[in-house]
This record gives sequence, C-alpha cells and structure tokens, in this order.
Amino acid sequence: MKLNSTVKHLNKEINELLFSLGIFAFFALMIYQTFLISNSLTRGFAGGVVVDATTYPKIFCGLGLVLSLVLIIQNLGRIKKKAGSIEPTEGEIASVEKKGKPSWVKPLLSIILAALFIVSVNVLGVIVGGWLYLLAQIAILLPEEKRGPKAYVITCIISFAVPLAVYLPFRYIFYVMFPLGIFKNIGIF
Amino acid sequence: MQEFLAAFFNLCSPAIMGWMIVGTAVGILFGAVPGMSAGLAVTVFLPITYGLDIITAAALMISLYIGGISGGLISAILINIPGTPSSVATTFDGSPMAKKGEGGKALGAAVFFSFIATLFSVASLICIAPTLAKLAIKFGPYEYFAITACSMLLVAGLFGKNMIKGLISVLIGISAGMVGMAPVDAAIRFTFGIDAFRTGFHAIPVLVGLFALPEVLAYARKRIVFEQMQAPKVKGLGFSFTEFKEQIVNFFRSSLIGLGIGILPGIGAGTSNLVAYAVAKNSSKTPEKFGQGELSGVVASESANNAGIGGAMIPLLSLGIPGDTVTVMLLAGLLLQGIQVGPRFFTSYPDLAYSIFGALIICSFLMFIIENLGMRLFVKLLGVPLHFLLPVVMFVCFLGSYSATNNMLNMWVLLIFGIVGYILTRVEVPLGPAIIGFVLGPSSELYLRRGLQMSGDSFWPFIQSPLAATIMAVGVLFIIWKAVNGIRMLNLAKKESHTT
Repeated sequence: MKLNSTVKHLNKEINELLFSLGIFAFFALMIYQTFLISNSLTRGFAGGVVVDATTYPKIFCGLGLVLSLVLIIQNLGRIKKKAGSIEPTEGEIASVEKKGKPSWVKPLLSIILAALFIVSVNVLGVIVGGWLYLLAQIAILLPEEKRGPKAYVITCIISFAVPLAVYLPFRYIFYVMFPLGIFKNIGIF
Repeated sequence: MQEFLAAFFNLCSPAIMGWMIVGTAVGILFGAVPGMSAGLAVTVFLPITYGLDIITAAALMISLYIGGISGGLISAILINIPGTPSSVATTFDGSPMAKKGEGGKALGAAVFFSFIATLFSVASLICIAPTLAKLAIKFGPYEYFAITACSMLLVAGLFGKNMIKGLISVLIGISAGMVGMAPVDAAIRFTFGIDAFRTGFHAIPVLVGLFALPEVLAYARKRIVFEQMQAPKVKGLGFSFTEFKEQIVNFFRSSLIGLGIGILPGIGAGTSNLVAYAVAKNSSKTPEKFGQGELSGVVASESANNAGIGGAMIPLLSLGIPGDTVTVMLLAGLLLQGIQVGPRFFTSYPDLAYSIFGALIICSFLMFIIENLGMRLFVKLLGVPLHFLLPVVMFVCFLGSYSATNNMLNMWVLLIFGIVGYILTRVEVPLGPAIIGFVLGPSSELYLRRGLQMSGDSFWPFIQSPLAATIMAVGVLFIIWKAVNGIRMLNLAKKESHTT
C-alpha cells in the first residue's frame, strides 16, 4: 500500500513537472512572439520611446518564465525526495499505472467527441450534430452499472429532445442563425 | 429615491420578472447539484445575457448568483454533500439535524437566514458602495493600474494551496487576454498568423471553456455518486420564534463575517461559511453540541455565505474588482454589454446601478419563496443524474459560445480553453486567477500605458502617487507574506519529519 501511494505521488509530481515544462515552453514562445510585433507603428502611436505594445507582454511573460522555472525546481526537488524514499521495481510501477489507466480514457474520448461535434456542425447542422453528440457523450459518461434498457430510452429521449429545445429559443428569441446542415431546406427550422 | 423606485418598478415588468424567476430557480438547482455551482450557472447563461438588454441581463445574472449560492444548502442538509463550496459548513450540523428527523427545521432556518442575510448584505452594499465609489472617483491611470494589479495579486495568492501556481494561473489568463489588438495603439499581437484572432478571444467561449468543460471532463474521470434524497415537510418557517430570537446575535455576527470576507478580493463565500461556523462554535456556551445537529451551526454558515453576496458586489461595483469567481463572471457579463464597472459606474449608469440593487432585493425574495414552495420539486430534479445533466450543459455551452459572434471559431476556442482548464485543475492550478487575469489583464495594460504616456515613459509616478503606492504595496506585501509563510510552513514540516 505504501509503495502504491509513493508511486502515485511520484506520478503526480512527474505530471506536475511536465506541466511546468509545458508552461515554461509556453512563456518562452510568448516572449519570442513579442519580438515579432511590429514596433514601428506602435511607438509612433504611443508617443513613447521605451514603452510600446511589447512592454506589457515582455514584463508578464518574463515573470511567467521565472515562475515556471521556480515550479520546475520545486518539482524536481520533490521528485528527488520521493524517489529516494522508496525504490519500486519496474513491474510494481507498471501495475500501479495499469490500475490508474482507465481514468484518462473517458476525458480523452469526451474531448475527441467535442471536436467531432464541432466539425460535424457545419455538415450535419446543429440539431443532428447535437443528437449524435448527446447520444455519444451520455454513453461515455453512463456508468457501467446503470446501463440497461431504461437508461438507453432516457438517453435517446434526452438526446433527441434537448437539441430542439435549446435550438428553438436561440433561433426564435435571440435570433441566432445556427448552421443547419441537412435541415437547411426545411422551412420550420 | 425616486430613481431607485423607478428602477424597482421597471424590474417588476413581466419579462424581467420572468427571467429573474427562471434565473433564481435554475441557480438554486445548479447550487444544489454537487458538481455544479453558482459560477457554472452564470457561465452557462452568459451567452444568453449577451442577447438581452443590459437591465434584464444584469437581473438574470444576479438571480443566478443568489439562487446558486443559496441552493447549496439543500444537498448539504439532505445528503451531507455541499452543492457548492459556500455550503461546506452547513453539512456539519445540517446533515446531523436531518438524520435526527429535524431536516425540516434545518432547511427552514437555512432558507430564512439565507434570505435575511442577503437583504442585510444588500443594505450594506447600498450604503457602502456609492460612498466608496465617490472616494475612488479621483482615481487616475496610476491608481487604476494599482487596483487591477493588486486584485490580480490578491486573487493569485488566495486561490489554491501553492501561490506560484496561482500567479502562473493569473499570467496564463493575462496571456490569453493579450491576443489580438493591443490597447492604445492597436498593434496586432500573438495571433500566430490566424486572422480571426486579430480581435482577440471573445470572453464567452474562454470563460465557458475554462469553467464548464473541465466539470464534464472531471466527471468523466471520476464520477460523483450521491444517494437519492427525500424532501422533509417544513411547517411554517420550520423553527419557532424563540429559536429565532436565540439566533439573532449569531446571525448578525455571521453576516458581518460574510460581508467582511466577501469584500476582500479572492475570498468569497467558500471561506466565510467556515470562518463564521468556527466563530459561532467558539462563542457558544455549548460548543460540544456543534457537529451533532446544532441549529446555530446551520444559521452561522448560511448567514455568512449569503451575506458574502453583497460583500463581493461592493468592490465590484465601486472599484471594478470582483470579490469571487461568480462576480468575475458578472464583471465579464457587464463588460460584454459594454459597461465599465468602477468608480464612475454610479454616475455613468445610475439606472443600472439602481436596477442591480433592486434585482438583489427582488431575487432575495424570489429565492425565499421558490425554495420554500419548490423544495419537493428541487429534490426531485436533483434525482436527475449528472451523466445526463452535464452533456446537456455542455451542448448549451457550445451553442451559447457560437451565438456570441455567430462564429464556429468560438466553439474551437471553448474546446481549447476547456482542455487548458482541465489540465490546470489536474495539476491543482486554480482557475479563478486565470479568469481574473483574462478579464482584468487588458484594462491593467491599458491603465499602465496611459499612465506611462502621461509620465513620458517614467514608472516613478506610479510610486509617487500615495494611493497607487499604498494599493500596490498591499498587493506586494501580501505576496511576500504568503511566500514567507509558505517557507516557514515548509521548514516546520521538514523539522517534524526529521523528529519522527
């Protein structure tokens, strides 16, 4: 149990380290981008000599770079400390990782599904795209023990009713024109 | 007074009243369902408010806010799970009361004291905010920059456990706010060659993405399970007049705590209910009864969290500084309508200011009535599992984001910021500072550059202005104090681990 908990914590620290490195790279990219901002225009308008449109980004992205470096150092220190406290075998780490593996599958599927929904809206329209999105998203979130004919019927009802129930007020109260895809020639929509 | 009455009667028009009833009911539902919150309620409705006139939009957002903060008490008492962080302390005694068969009394008292605490805080808001705004009216760019910078620093330090993560969160928000045209000279920045980003990210998909999608992804990763609850019968107000008299001191004390904490940027009802509970317990003659089903515990928690509503609105309306995450959303909603909140708010938009006061009062009454009459219905609606509710919320968010500018790009922005928000929550980086950074970052830059234009590119006037210097010193000293405190705690933990 102690080993499992240590490996879990180690995984958490490694995730945080990866995040810190990602953030460091992000702020580095932002600083690089500030050098691509056209200054000839900005200085003339601002009337200043030192301060232009790059000043504020440089200050705050520079600060972000320093802070992410501090976070990296903090994480490395914690990883070193935790890794030194116990040394699990590769097999033990793999077993712990295997147990935790399904936790990211559903979020990843949800993200892919959201992306597919956005892509499909232009082709299928917001109503049909919505039906499919809701069907699939509920199917992803539906717990194993709750699956059964009753849950499937409720899923179908919600999936078919909600897109219409949401679309109609947006269309007729707020006058928002959504892509209708295959429904674009049907008068009532 | 006449203007206030005119605004009040305007709010009583069927259309606005209808929105407020819907908003309060939906807010209560969002507050009551664990895994959803008042902030999420305002976020989901943000695109809808964009299409309404400003008075209706403000009234709708306020009704969602009041309903959302109060709704948390239902699940806190009936299933021992706080619907929102603002009701954590309500579970300590509310749930034991329900288990003892006093659920009706707990619910009745919680709803009633939530109601009068909101009214108390609104009265304080009406008295304090315009006076504070009058003092702040002389502010120039130096002071405004100091205020925005200070509030971002305070929020960064107060949200989450790790201050560095809080600061990084603010900087991520500021970076997102920098995309597009720079203030003052409209120089194009950080568009990465995408023309659609020249006008910057629209606030709705960014805020909805940061707030709503992580909820769905978090649920997909780890399901929240809560048992089906039963609505107890509430006779009258649920408690006797003697019990009411016994709670008056506790009510005022807790409301003042809630109001005071609500005023401070970054700390909202999530903290005030716990502080008020601790103070009520320490002041009690029978502290051992707390946690066993003591009415005072419920009253303290619910008075404090609802008093925080008026408290959080004071810095928002008078200085333009949001007190908590929900008021950040309110600020974003008002900015989307082209309303600049701050010291000049009361003179520039008196009708809107009075309407906001009026909406706060009306929504308090609506909350009291709807919670009392609709308790059974809410309990039934809470039976709808999150695996059905969250996809629906997500679908509404996608459509709402699209409707902000009728642009498909908004949906992609929502998705990208949703993923960013999820990653941030996974590594325990608080989202509140990112949101405040995104909302306040552009104004902070604007005031900085205006100030520098006035001073001929010199930073000295920012320090020479006594008010700006004091405000910035508060922010910097707070961060230093947090850092020193963090190092001290770390050393203490090291010492303890060495001794053991």
